[in-house]
Amino acid sequence: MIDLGVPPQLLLVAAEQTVYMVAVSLLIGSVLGLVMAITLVLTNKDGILPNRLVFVSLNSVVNIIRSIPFIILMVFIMPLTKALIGTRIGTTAALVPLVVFIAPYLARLFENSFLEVDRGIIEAAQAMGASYVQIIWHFLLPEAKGSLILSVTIGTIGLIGATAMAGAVGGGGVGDLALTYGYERMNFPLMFVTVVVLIIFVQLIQSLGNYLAFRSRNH
Amino acid sequence: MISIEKVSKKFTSRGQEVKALDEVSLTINDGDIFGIIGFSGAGKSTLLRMINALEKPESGSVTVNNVEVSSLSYRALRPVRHEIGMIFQQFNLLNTRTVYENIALPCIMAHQNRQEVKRKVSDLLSYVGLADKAQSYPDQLSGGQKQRVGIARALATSPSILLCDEATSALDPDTSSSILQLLRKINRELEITIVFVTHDINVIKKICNKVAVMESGRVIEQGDVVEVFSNPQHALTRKFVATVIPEDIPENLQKTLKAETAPCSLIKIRLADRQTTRPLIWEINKRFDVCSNVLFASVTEIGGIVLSVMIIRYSGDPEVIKKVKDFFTKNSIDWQELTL
Ligand SMILES: Nc1ncnc2c1ncn2[C@@H]1O[C@H](COP(=O)(O)OP(=O)(O)O)[C@@H](O)[C@H]1O
Ligand SMILES: [Mg+2]
Repeated sequence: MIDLGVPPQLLLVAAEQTVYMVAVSLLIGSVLGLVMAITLVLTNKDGILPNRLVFVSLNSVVNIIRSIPFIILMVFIMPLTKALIGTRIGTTAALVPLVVFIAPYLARLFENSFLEVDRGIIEAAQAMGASYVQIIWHFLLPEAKGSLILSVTIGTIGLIGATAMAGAVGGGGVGDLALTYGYERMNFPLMFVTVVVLIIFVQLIQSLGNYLAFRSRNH
Repeated sequence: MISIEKVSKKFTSRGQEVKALDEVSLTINDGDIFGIIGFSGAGKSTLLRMINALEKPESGSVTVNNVEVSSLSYRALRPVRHEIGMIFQQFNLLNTRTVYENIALPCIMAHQNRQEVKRKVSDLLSYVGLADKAQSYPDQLSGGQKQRVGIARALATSPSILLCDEATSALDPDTSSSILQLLRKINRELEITIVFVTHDINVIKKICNKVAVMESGRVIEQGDVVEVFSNPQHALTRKFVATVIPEDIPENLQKTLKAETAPCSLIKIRLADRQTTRPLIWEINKRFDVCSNVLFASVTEIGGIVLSVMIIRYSGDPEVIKKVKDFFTKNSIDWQELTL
């Protein structure tokens, strides 16, 4: 065993924090992202419920949030975090900026997944008298499923990157561990181990995503 | 009955205004197989999509079975659309669903009972000849099989009208014929009115009883297929018809004829239905003792009726030839004199 210079539990706690932050913000972010993406696709001028006002507003919000670097976003929305969670720091408090960061990112990815669905299929749905909800549920979602899974995969990997910065608000996690112990105290073995752990994380998620997407596309 | 009255529709794409439909009026009767033919961009799809209100007119009205669909809201349109099936050139099936699920979907969305749906889908599968493909996915099927699934799906809500947008244009000729046979069977057995948009005159020839010819957003000619085919009025219609009923003297023969100097008349006659069984040439030869030579002849069957076109060269005394022409006119035979 290499000496990491920190108690092994610390590594476990950090891993747990990362998984917690990624999982919760991914879940909430995916739901919000899905709602935003569907709204964008429907209200698009070539969509089935064109609405310029809604489309342009939502589209701008997504663009604006996506253009703010995460570290700045995190500080910038601290008042919101305080209002929602009651505190500005800690792992749970880090969820707010993570969700605000990932939801528009996923919205954009999901929007592209939906736009890949052949327009002819939506037309067929309308021709058979499907309601708007039925079009989303029976046509858009199933046909975009494979692509949506890949979008979630990309989003998850982006989130893992973002959680490393969550240390700035006391979020903890593997990235934070690497920065505070590894970088600031020049603990190279620890840094090496965390990097390896992160690489394995990302590889696993990407492989899982690819597998699920493949399965949903090929019967 | 479908009645389209003075329907107009403009599109603007990249600042360019296109009149997709320009005061189009059509009536399609119950039981018709109504063909709409024209080149790409003529406005055929836009017109077809007016019938199930996928497209709304700027002016004019569209009435289907006494309901004015052009003024209905999306919600109010839903039951009307169950009455109108549609099939497409690109089939537009759900690739992530089995054949069974694709066909069941319209029923499920209409909240039909599960057992009933099951029975209906298997009936439809046998009807279109795909009983063994229920659990296949669309990408495991050939083009013709996909279109059969499309047809079964369109029939799932028991419509009275079936709209077909270039439904055979992506298929090879044999497959295309078998799909057309199926559509004809559906028209006869299930009493479903079919509206078929195409750029292929063969489709019109094979299954339609009525036809409308479109050019630049306007219907330039319409009527019974036999009438339109036997006597096309518009240049474009003649062009379409000529591809299935050739009526020109082969070029080489034209050259030879041009070189000849003896006086003669070239007469093109068009015979339809019963006229085709009359021994016309024999009659004329016998009666006028004129020298005749058939330069060209074609016989085509359309909608169960035989059309024949002949180009005959009569040579000899101009007086006698004049009598031959009078004979055609008196016997109400469609004829015209050609010049080389
Ligand atoms: N949604 C649309 N937006 C812009 N232009 C359109 C649209 N739909 C059709 N058009 C235009 O209207 C004309 C008629 O199109 P269409 O009805 O598809 O013709 P066809 O089916 O006979 O090929 C074409 O010039 C086409 O470019
Ligand atoms: Mg078209």
